Amino acid sequence: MSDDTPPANRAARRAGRTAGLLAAALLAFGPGVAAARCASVADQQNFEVEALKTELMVVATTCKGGIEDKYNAFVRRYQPQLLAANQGVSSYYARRGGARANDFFITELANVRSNQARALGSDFCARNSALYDEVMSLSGPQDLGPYAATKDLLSSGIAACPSGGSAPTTATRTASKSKRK
Amino acid sequence: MRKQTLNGLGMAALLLIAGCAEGGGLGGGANRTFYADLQGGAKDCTTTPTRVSLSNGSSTDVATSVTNDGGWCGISVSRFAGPYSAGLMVQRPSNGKVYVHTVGSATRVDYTPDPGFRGTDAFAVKLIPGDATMKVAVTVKPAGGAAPPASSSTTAAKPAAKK
Repeated sequence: MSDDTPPANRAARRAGRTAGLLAAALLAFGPGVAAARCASVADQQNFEVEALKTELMVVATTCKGGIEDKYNAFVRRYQPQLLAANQGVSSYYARRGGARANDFFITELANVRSNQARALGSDFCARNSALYDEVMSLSGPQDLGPYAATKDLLSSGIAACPSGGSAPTTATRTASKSKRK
Repeated sequence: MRKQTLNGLGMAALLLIAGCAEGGGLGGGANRTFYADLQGGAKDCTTTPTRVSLSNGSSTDVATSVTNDGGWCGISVSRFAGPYSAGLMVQRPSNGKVYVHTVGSATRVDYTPDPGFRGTDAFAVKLIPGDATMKVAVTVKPAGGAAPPASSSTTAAKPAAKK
């Protein structure tokens, strides 16, 4: 922009650029238009584990019967994996959209899972509290990622890796060999 | 590390639904079939073999055909007449999503193709406890197409109603 542009025009152009950036941000991070899967399986798994944690938190805060203790046990058992997933998602956004986009995703994830809970109504606690039995039945922390991948928690308005590109072409991850109990 | 407590994100939203949560408890889902799990199935969903039985230490091949109308196609498996504890993704599908969950007294493995996808896909899940693996080859037909039904298969996990 040249220096001889009238201030009013500069302001209008600046406003237009801001609106354009906002629109781009909505396209990039808005839940309804997000890509379905990450280009990287590692990124995809990080998002899935993060979504699982959020879902379990929604169950714990919504349902009665000492489930908060179950949530705390879940966090204790899988803390390294939860930490890695959280850092992985933050790292993804550090590369793509920054901290604000990360915050937006975390907030939207909680909202979407809460809305799903509300949609299930009185069935929610009876149905979804079984997730604790499942996740604590895993043979070890290494199974958390492969387990989270089967729960379809990144849909209905939120997706992994918004603006992240196409589905992984080598989307294979071998689950750890669990020993029979 | 971000603090992993219940006082973290989204608490305001969560409190909105806390009031409707009477009566739910751990284990309450066993042997119950919930309305939500019967909704949203694909109109045309077939699997071969009709009755899938898994065994520890081995991999079982299953073929599924589904019309892509946005619905899921489910494969029910059970262990000693009850559900498995959980499923683990061994191979992700390339063009759809997989959801492993307990429905009544069985574990149901749902595949939902990506919107607009037609063609073939494949995935594999391991069911625990034990190490029974199910490898699924999926044929996705376009919605509204005139693809002929598979001759040697029958309807699998047909939902009661669609969303």
